[in-house]
Amino acid sequence: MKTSREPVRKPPAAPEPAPLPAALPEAELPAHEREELRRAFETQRGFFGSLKSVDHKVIGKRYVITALVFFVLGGIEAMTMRLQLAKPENSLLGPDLYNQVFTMHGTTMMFLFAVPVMEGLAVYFVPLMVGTRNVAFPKLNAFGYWIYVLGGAFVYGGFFLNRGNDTGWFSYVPLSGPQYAPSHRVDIWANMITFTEVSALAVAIEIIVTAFKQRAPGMSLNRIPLFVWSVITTNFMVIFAMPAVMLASGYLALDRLVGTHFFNPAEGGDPLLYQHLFWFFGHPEVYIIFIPALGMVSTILAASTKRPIFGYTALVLSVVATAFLGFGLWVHHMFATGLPQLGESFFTVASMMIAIPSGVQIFCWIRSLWGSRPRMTTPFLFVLGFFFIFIAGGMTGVMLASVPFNLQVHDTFFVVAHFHYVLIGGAVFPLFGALTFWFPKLTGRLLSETLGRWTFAVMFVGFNLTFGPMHWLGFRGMPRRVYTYLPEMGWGPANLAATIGAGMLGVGVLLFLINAARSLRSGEAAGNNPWGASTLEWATSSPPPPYNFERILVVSNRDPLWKPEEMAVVTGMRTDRREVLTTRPLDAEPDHRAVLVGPSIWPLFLAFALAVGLVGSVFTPWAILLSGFLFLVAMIGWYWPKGEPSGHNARTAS
Amino acid sequence: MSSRRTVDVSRLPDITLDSGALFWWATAGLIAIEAMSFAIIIATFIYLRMTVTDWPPPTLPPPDLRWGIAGLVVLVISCVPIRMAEKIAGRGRPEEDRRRIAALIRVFLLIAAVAVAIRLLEFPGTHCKWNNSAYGSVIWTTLGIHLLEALAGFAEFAVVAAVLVGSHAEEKHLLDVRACALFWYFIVAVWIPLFGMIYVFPRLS
Ligand code: HEM
Repeated sequence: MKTSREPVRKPPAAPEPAPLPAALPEAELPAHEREELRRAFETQRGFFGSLKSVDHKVIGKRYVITALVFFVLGGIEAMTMRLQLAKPENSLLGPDLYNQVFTMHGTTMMFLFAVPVMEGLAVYFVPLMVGTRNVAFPKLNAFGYWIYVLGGAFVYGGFFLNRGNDTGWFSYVPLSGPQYAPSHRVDIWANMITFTEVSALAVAIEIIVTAFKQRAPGMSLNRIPLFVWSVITTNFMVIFAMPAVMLASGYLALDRLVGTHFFNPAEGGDPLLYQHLFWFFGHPEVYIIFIPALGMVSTILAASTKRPIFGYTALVLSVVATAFLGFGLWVHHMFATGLPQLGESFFTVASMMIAIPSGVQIFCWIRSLWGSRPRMTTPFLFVLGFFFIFIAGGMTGVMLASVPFNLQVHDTFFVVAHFHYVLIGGAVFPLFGALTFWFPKLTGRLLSETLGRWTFAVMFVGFNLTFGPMHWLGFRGMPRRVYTYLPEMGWGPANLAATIGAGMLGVGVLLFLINAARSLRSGEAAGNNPWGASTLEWATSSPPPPYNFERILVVSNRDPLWKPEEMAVVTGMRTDRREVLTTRPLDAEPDHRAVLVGPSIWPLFLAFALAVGLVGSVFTPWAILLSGFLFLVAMIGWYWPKGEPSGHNARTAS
Repeated sequence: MSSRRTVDVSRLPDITLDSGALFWWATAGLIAIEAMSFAIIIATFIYLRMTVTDWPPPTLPPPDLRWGIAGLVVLVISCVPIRMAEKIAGRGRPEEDRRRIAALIRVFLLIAAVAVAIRLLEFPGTHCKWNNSAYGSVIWTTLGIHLLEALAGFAEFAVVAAVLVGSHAEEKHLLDVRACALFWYFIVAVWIPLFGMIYVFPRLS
């Protein structure tokens, strides 16, 4: 058997393997069994039925679309800020509204767009890539989505009622404490954090369990697709990082609402505690956003070069190492707070160490590209854009890791430039590449390549025009989070350039949306595997049927679809109920056949129960009691047996 | 069909009661999250202890040990019926065993109710309030969050017991007994360091 470690100089345009159905006729089911399977897994019809859906594809798509809506909202906020800063002493936004807008922008992008969009793609693709029929806990999955939407609606409801948080996306105390922020603005924000973190934790559990317990037989740990590895890593980070921010925002809410003193130095508390807790989450958060993007890059690279990625093991290990190091870095956001010298040096070293795994990955990718003749498709262009922008952002990151430099540019636009290079280069470009790459699987139709290339070009130029000048503005002393500046500072032209760039970036995103809308109406049909990629999501139709695969596939290498002759299928699964095959975590030997839960309204109800508590507690602590009662009702409803054998749908066959 | 290209799984069991079960993994994940949260609460306590000079406030008597110890003991005892119920559930015979398991759970619910009652006495036993000082805030929050966890575990078991005596009890509910038990052991185990933090620590300094 060939492995990826063999010389990869074979001709790039390998002969197209036969499409799966022809190569593996055993993978098809007799028509009546297929019909049974469809009935067992499908989402019920009608509005009410759609609220009960527990199909990971339905929920994953909802996540992605909702997150893109928030991306557009956050983008509109960004454009408003850029218009305000386009010239000195502009008066589009006053200081108070500007504060709300930049806080909403940061909050939206971090909590309501970047993390959920990656989660949504994971929810959609992990079960497909590991070859199973649904996530391990379908109702939990639905609950996670509902609580996320409710949280987003809550914080935007507040914003439209002039209750948008105005203390920045990390809302440091004492500014956000009861003394300096007396209105409900911060309360709403603090409780919104809990909504989104609960949602992330729900996804984390089900993705980890799905990836460890429901892989196709034969998909041992060293055959897991790289995207799945990156998502597993991310979700472990979620489990260890999110509790910190839930407690940080929880303590903050308690200080504000019932008069505790966690952050009040007059009564034995400490404001720096908030910063520690926040960044213990906040720095891993950045990796939570961009590690899935690393997996997307590897996925797109392999499909574009049509050969296995170089250094699979090194890539997996460096992703895991990045995750570990990511937890040792939080203090580098606090260099300006006067921590002990030795401590600062330690965190400087840790911050620079992160360059090692990143370097390993870059070299693996370069080696994968070396001597290949990749197809210059839109997804591939976005990957190239990622390389360029992300490396530039990484460079300014290494600069920021040095304490004296950090103190110099602290809270200037240099920092704004740096983190947009990292976040947009590291996450948004790969994301748009991945959306283009997977669009055919999600919808059954291809996006237009011409429009796609234009999208990329406009976004790339627009991006650099927006954020490039901000480095210079930072050096020239322009602080972040100011609503305007004086003409004598000489910052006008660079700011104008940035605003024009932001407009271009907006046009780029618009082009993408137009492309998607056009393709949905009249796009070219995609077929199962338009890119000739090697992972299992391409083994089924586009879009996949409710049950994903007619028969569960058995794999014997990392790139199953490139060697269909080595694949096999599982027989003996029941088709009349929601059955999945569980396998053992290491070697993916079949273990047992588990029966999954079906459509249910209780996840939505449970999300409401929690929302009553989180929204209500802003106004009165008694809301917690009501919420607790509803929670109990929801728990009973969720769990109570339906009086039919498990795994069957209630409807009788029609 | 050539057998080389098919893997027959029709003879695999459709439920397992051991750690291979999906629900068992979910509980383990939940425990990881909770453990992390409690670790951060302890870190909060230690951090404030290190940075604040008067911690706990010097005039404050240490929390009342009587209720603290009583609460700890009752919590540990509550594990006994759960352990017995869990063992029986492991035999995988829902029809024969479900009533016995439900009876054991009811014994547990009684003991756990006593533990909750004692917890309500532990709050005034701290001699401080959540809004007197940051020390009081940490202690009250710890007691409160742990109480909420315990109530959740209690409610879970109450529902499971009700299902077990109902007419739809199946083998998978035995798995739920085991998963709930795992969660309850965690609630009790995590109380031991928290107990040390609340009751022992102030007596050392
Ligand atoms: C789409 C184009 C974008 C533009 C034009 C843009 C523009 C800006 C500007 C001008 C600021 C600074 C405001 C100030 O300090 O006065 C800002 C802040 C910020 N942006 Fe963006 N941004 C964009 C996308 C993103 C994305 C995709 C993310 C995250 C994934 C993001 C995350 C943030 C954060 C976290 C802040 C800090 C907010 C704060 O200071 O509290 N931005 N953005």
